Amino acid sequence: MAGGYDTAGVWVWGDNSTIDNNLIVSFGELGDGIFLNDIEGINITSNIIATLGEQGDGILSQMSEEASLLFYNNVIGTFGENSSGIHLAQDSYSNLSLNNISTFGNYSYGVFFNESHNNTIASNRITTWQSTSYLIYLTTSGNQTVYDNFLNTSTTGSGVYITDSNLNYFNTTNSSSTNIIGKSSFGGNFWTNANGDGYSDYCVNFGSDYYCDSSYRIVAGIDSYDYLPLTNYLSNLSTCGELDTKKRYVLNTSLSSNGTCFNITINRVFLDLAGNTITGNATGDGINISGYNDTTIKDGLIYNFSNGIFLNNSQDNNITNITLGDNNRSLYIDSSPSNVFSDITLNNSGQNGVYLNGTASSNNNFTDVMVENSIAPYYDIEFGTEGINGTWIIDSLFTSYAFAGEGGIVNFKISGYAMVEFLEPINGSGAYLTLRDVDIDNNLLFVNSSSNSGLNKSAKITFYGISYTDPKPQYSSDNSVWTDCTASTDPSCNEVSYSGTTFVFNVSHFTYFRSAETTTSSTGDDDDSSSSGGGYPTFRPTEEELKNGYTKFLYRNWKISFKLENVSHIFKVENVNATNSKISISSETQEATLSVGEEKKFDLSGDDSYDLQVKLNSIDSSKANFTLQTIHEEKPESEDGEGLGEKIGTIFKEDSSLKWIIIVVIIILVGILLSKGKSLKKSSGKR
Amino acid sequence: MKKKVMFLLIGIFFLINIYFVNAVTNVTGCGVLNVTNEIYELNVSLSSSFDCITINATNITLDCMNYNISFGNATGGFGIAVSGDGGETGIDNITIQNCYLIQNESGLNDSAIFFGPSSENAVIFNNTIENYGNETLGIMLESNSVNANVSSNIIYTNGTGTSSGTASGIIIAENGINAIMENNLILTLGNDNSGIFLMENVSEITIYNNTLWIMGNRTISDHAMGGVVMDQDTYDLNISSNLIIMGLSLSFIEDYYNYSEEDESWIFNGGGVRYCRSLGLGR
Repeated sequence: MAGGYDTAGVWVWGDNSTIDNNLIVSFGELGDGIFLNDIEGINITSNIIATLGEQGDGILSQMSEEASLLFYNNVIGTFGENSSGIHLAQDSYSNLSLNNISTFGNYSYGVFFNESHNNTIASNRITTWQSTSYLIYLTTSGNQTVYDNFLNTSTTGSGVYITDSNLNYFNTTNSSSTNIIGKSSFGGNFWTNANGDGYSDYCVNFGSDYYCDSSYRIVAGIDSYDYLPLTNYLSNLSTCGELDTKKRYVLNTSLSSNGTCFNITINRVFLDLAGNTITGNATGDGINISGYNDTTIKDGLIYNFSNGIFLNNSQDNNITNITLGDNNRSLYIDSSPSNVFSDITLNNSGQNGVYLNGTASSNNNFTDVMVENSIAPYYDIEFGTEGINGTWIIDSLFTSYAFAGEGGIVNFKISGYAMVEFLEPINGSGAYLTLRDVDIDNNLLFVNSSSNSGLNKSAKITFYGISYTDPKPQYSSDNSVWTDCTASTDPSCNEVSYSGTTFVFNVSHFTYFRSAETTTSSTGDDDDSSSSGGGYPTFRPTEEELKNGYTKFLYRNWKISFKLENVSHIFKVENVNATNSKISISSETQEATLSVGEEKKFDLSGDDSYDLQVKLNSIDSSKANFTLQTIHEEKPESEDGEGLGEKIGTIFKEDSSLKWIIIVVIIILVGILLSKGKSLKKSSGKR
Repeated sequence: MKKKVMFLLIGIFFLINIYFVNAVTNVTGCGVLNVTNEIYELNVSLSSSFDCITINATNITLDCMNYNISFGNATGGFGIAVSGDGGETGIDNITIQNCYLIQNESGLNDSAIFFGPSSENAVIFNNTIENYGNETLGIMLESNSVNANVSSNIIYTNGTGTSSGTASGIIIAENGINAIMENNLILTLGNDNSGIFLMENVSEITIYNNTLWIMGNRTISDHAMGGVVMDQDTYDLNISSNLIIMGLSLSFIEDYYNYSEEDESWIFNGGGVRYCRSLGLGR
């Protein structure tokens, strides 16, 4: 039994009373802690209230317009669904201060206002525990002032939901009073969440106060800003050392280090290198994370350490937009699972670019990782221990590779095209992992098991962007003659699913695979697939690198993304032949075909001057070596607009009537000249 | 000589003291107590099939000395009625203490302790009440009561409320003023009952440090129900430091009071008060 249905611990219809220091527990559905109806002048102070039934609010007050109610210093916990901490319906001019509110059920809001206006919510601690439960839910409720609250949400975003409401305010006047987190910066709210990575947890604060440097928009699309969001740390980082506080560090200068630069000794550090470089002396680690997790490292360059980044017994780290150069090992991953490395460039490692060691180093994800550094006997990526499983290589470039012993289970993906998930460990070694040995293209997958028999394993293949009515798998030994792949062929195939435009099937071992329409001939020549898109590598040189000349080997569909005068451009290799390569540059697309040794200049900004020079240096096995360099060079006159001949030609092309008028004029002019010539001849004859 | 005078004075003082101090009268049966300034004490348990004790005079103390009073039948009956059921008004300065009132099972209506309208300075202290009938209140202070003090009582009601009456713990009726209710334990099991109910225009009431355990549901939509209910137009009330539990969760009991499921039927068949005592609740 439960009981307590539709009741209240304290039921109030009267006025001007005090309810304080009570402990109220309500178990029943619709059982509120305190229920107020059409009242005024009530002080509810220092009570402890727990409700356990559904729709059991901690405090529910309704129809108390201009009531001047005070809800102060109460501890409220609601455990059922649809059970808010403090729920005001048609109430106004009330004050909610210093309350500690937690809701544990779904759709249970910390503070829920419905048709309630001009209330103050200040210095409360509000926590929700379900993704459907907002901290503050305002519907048809305007002109609230919300400040100095510690707001810990279980939802995405800020934890505030606003609908059909006039303007609400999420900070008060800036002052040096002590705020809810004990700092002398009083004004806005502290925004955190269940993961500890809310706005206040990781905002940038370069100042000496404890406000985030930027205002915080509470609800997208609605005028709702906290202009003084609180934080409890300062962001500035200007020296190498131990990072022992869970916060956002922002490096404000490039650093040189004798030995290890940053040693992270706490979980959930956010290290923003802010485009700066840390340079070592060939010893120690650029960044060392040993035994701590959930670190984010982004936006910088790490050069000349023994290990660029060393993860030791560390997991769930996120490392993005980092360039590692001239390190002995760029990424050393030792017994460290479930890390994500994205948008990483590795250059000139003395040994391995990426070295994974220990079977615990499983489920690591490499997305947009470009490695060009292997020097035998080392590798772009080496799995130093057998049994390292669940590695993902997505839209990345690894050339040389090696697996220890029986190897491990690895998955490959080119976004928009295809994915191969090996169902058993792959092993061996080779020189071109993602370019030749596992080659993913548009509705085409080739695993070169003759190059490395260790790749000839069963796998699940997923093709994206397929538009066939009824696709079927096909295999080929030469990418020319295709045969339907079934359970009885060798290799054998088993279809798994076809949903939307995604076709999935398992294969017993490898050669070329593709999908085709079931109604097509089971054996025949190659035909075009229907897929589109693609996640081929995209390099992102800095402006400085472009200025000095940025040289890359690029395959078909590979890109270089760069900015000129804050405008983004994409350089793309459209095709590579034996002697030339077709390229395109956008945003406004320009195309050119360059032969080996040829260079071409491009005006990307439309200001009659060249901004970019592209040179095709060489072609090697369908890989073209380009150098891109930013320039500022006036166009020659003949190329400034068009020459006369070009103009005429253009006119001829564009307007046939003009063409005939000009021809007639020319004929007339020629006729006049001829007639003058005859006159001259005649006159000379008179003499 | 001096010694004789001294003994004489002591003797006179002793006689005067005996004359002026209230007399103590033993109560040996149910009936009417109507001697002003009298102290009545039970020296036996009493039993009635309807009303038991009626107090009809002011300045009376009834001390039950922890003896039992059983009362009521299927149609009603009071345990202790001050001014009787609908009788005289304004019986002031009455103290009722140390009584153990047990309603005969299946009783209906009325109260264990009833104060008629306009009573002043009522003191209801350290009593235990077990009510089993529907619509039977623990303590009722009729309208316009002044300066009541209700403290350290244990009240258990097993009946249910209806649209015509409830089995709540304590009710202060309309216009009651300046009462204090503290350190009481109230346990109500039936639906539509409240712990302490303050009716319209009640004011200046302090409800302090009570334990109110209200297990029933609200089934009558236009009746308020709560641990404490402050009805319309009440004002200047102070509800402070009380433990209020609405409903029952076996897991809650198990966690906090080593309750076992076997105990449930016992509680609901008359063991509620003893159970509460076993939890250390109330006195």
